Amino acid sequence: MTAGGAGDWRRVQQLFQAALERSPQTRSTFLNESCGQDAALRAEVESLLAAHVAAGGSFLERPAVGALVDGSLQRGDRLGSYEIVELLGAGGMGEVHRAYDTKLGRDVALKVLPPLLTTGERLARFQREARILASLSHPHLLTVYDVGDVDGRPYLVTELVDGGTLKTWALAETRTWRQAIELLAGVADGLATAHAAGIVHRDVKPDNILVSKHGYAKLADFGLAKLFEAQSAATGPEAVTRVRTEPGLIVGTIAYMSPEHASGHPVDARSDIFSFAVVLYEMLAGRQPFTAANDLEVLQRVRYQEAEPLAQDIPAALRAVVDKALEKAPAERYQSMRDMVVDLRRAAREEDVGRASPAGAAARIRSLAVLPMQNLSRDPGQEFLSDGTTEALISSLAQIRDLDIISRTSSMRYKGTAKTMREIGRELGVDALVEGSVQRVGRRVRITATLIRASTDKHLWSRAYDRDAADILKLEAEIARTIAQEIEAHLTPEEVRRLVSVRSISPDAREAFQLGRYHQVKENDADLGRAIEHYERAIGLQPDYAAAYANLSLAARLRKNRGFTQEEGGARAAALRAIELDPDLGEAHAAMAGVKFDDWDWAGAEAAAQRALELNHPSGRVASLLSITGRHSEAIAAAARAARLDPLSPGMQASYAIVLYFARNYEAALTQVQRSLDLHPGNYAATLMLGGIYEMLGRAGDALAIFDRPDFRESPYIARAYALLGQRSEALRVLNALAERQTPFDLIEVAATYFALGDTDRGFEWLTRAFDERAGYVPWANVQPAFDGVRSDPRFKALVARLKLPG
Amino acid sequence: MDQANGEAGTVSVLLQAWGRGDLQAREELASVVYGELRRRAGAYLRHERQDHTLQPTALVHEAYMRLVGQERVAWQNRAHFFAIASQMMRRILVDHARERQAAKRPGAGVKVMLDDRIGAAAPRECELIDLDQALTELTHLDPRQGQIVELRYFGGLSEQEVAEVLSISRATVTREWQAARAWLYRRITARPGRTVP
Repeated sequence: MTAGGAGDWRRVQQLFQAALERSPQTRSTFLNESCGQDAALRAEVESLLAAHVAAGGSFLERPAVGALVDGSLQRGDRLGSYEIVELLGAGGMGEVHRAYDTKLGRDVALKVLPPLLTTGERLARFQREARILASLSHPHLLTVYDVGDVDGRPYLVTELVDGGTLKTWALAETRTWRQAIELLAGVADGLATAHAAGIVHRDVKPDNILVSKHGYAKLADFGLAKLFEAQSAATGPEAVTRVRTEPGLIVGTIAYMSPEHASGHPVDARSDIFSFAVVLYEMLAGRQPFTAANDLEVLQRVRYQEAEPLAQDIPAALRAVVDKALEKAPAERYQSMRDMVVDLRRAAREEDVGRASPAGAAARIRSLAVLPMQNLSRDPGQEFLSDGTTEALISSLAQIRDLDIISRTSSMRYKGTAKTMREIGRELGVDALVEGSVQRVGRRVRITATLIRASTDKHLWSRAYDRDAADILKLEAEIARTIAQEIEAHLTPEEVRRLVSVRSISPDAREAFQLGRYHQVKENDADLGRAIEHYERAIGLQPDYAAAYANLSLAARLRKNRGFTQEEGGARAAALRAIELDPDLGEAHAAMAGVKFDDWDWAGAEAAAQRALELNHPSGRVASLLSITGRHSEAIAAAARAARLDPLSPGMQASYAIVLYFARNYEAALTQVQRSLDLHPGNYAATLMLGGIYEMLGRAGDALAIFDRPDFRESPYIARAYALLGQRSEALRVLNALAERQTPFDLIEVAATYFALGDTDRGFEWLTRAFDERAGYVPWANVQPAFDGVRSDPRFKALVARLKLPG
Repeated sequence: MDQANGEAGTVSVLLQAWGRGDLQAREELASVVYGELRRRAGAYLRHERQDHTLQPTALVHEAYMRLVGQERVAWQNRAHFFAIASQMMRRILVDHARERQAAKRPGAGVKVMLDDRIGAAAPRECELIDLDQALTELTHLDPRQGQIVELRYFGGLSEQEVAEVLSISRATVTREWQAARAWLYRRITARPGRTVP
């Protein structure tokens, strides 16, 4: 039992203090000696030590009245356009509320900062940095949306992360070094990106690293510490001794401070490198590198004492990285975070390979691209067969979550290429490539496949297969599985099951299916019609062909959405049938997501799209849905991943730009849309987006210049550019001509143009028509920046209500 | 101003009387200090205070300046003042928390910070009332530690000031504060229905 009396408490306390003054490693020995046979005493001391650690640096450290006053925001209170929902937590730098942004219709985190001893200039600098960080749109940096103040109390609005902090992540269960590195590598990359933009964090610590429920880490509170630093604190050694008497002088958490910061000297990016290394050390060792009984001693240790070496079971290369980053003198550390990231990744990779093969020379392969399989059949018309095998290998390998596989559009661009493996590897950013050939001889099929390391052009594995054509699906799955084994990718039992349990499909049905795919990707009316015929034939030959049903659904919807037909073409029934036949088929769920999206059934569409994604079927749908419902940072992360896996697809690159645009991240959107236009100059969708971005950046003149070409000259897009430039009669001329037009055009943009002209009533007439006809970008109306001016109009609210958006 | 000067005079007299062992003076002093702090704290707690330039944590110091001001007071008397003021602050804040709890406004429980974060959901928190109760238990076990917590957490005094008030070394304050904090944390988190991290 716990010690009860005052005498016992004295003894417990003495041991507690003495143990705290010892290093964590020697504590156990110390307690063995001091407590002897008294197990109860020892348990009491240990539980107190645990409480000490768990209480952290914040418990009771801020006087009660401060906490009381800061917690004073109540549910329903308004700060500008933000409505308080609930208190999430409170800390030394203010309390955090979940709030609702009534202007942009999204949930945010709102942090009310303590009254500042700061200047307007500093606040302005902080805001400037926040904007730069937002423009980087790095998935591992927490986005600051807004900075403002109420009654002289500044507040900060950021994206909301559903989860906890690195601290709670580490406490939740025992973590391996590998898990820690996987979680933190992205954060390191984010920090490096911020440094490259000239921004220093100044308070890197586990409390500032948020970890979402899905195990995704984001670095928060950039530059916040700087706001709280009194001018005098930046210099002079006496600052050190004042740390405790006047909290707020040197701001930062002592245990994670760099020696130069702890000495009150000016800090730069190298200080962040040290702090990040302290976090890394703590995650690898399960303890902080510099601990002592009180803050002053911690400061001394930070400045003068070497951290105890990390345990031997942590890879030597990784220990070396941490050691180098923990050097006391900034000049001895990594000079840039980017260098540290490179070494960190290499250390982790080398360890992986080291485990795999004793030679351990080469880095592990984590990403690969399947190049178009060569058609060795005499009949060039059989090319669809080799393309089919390429696609099948891509989709089989893509099912392995441990691997990044380049998507079809980007891979297919290398058909007949003269480029070397190294060049291709570099362009696609992959570790390895698969190339091969397909030959059909009567009822036999011959496939060869070779795995090549991109950086060295070295052949890692090669094999030729000769099988009955009826077994081609099984063979493709087998090749994918073998490749995965060769590169030692980690396969979950579920993934193994799916790669093994491939159904037999009759060769004729498979051929019909492949012909369908061949036509479908051309995306014009005639080819889509032919694709549908081939799928129907495939289903006739093989009634349980789930993939044929799924693609039938996709092709039918594409045909309708492109305006080639009014017919629904059985898209819904086909998607349902596909899921019924094979509930584990990603394509089937992607097809269903499309059908539900067209129904404006957002929840249903999202569930289906997420299921497709779980089954590792790439879907841009997820990003769109997140965007429409205002979850922009998640949308950006999803779109960024899709763009990364399909680096040469202009469409996928443009989709990412569109997501950034709706997130109002115009600078990043501009960079991204250029990437799309580089791949396909003049691309219609990307050009549209480029004009839209220019307009939001106040560069309507540039927008007009790019829309001044035949296919845009009579479009609502150029009309809006005229309107924004004040060329009213030009704008109206184009709009009037459009009103007479019989072929479809962008109704949303017409409405936006009337709003820009100040003719709100006409704008709403067109917007209503757009809603009635469910025109293209109608689902995005609630997040469309062009509508910001009319957002509070009851007519707008009534229209948006028709979307039945969640929340 | 006259009134303030008058009170300042009264408080000095009461402090001296209490210093000589006059317990009646202590009661009167407590009542004056309570009234003063309540007025000041109330303005914050009712969101009336507009001049946020001043930290609310300085309340006890503000009250001292107003009630005692520049009067020459023996350091023991000054210590007595802070001790009693911290005790009164505790009473005011706990009463306030109780009122809020009784009013059952949504999300109105008064939180004591257990963690520091931004943007994260899933808070860990405890009620000020729980802390008050745990502190009473700690005071039974170790009166001096109870007082250190009262001075620092409720009175908002720095470690140095606590050391002066209690006439002990600063190092002792640091050590005892650490033990007291750990003990309280354990006591609060170990309550039924709360998880121990």
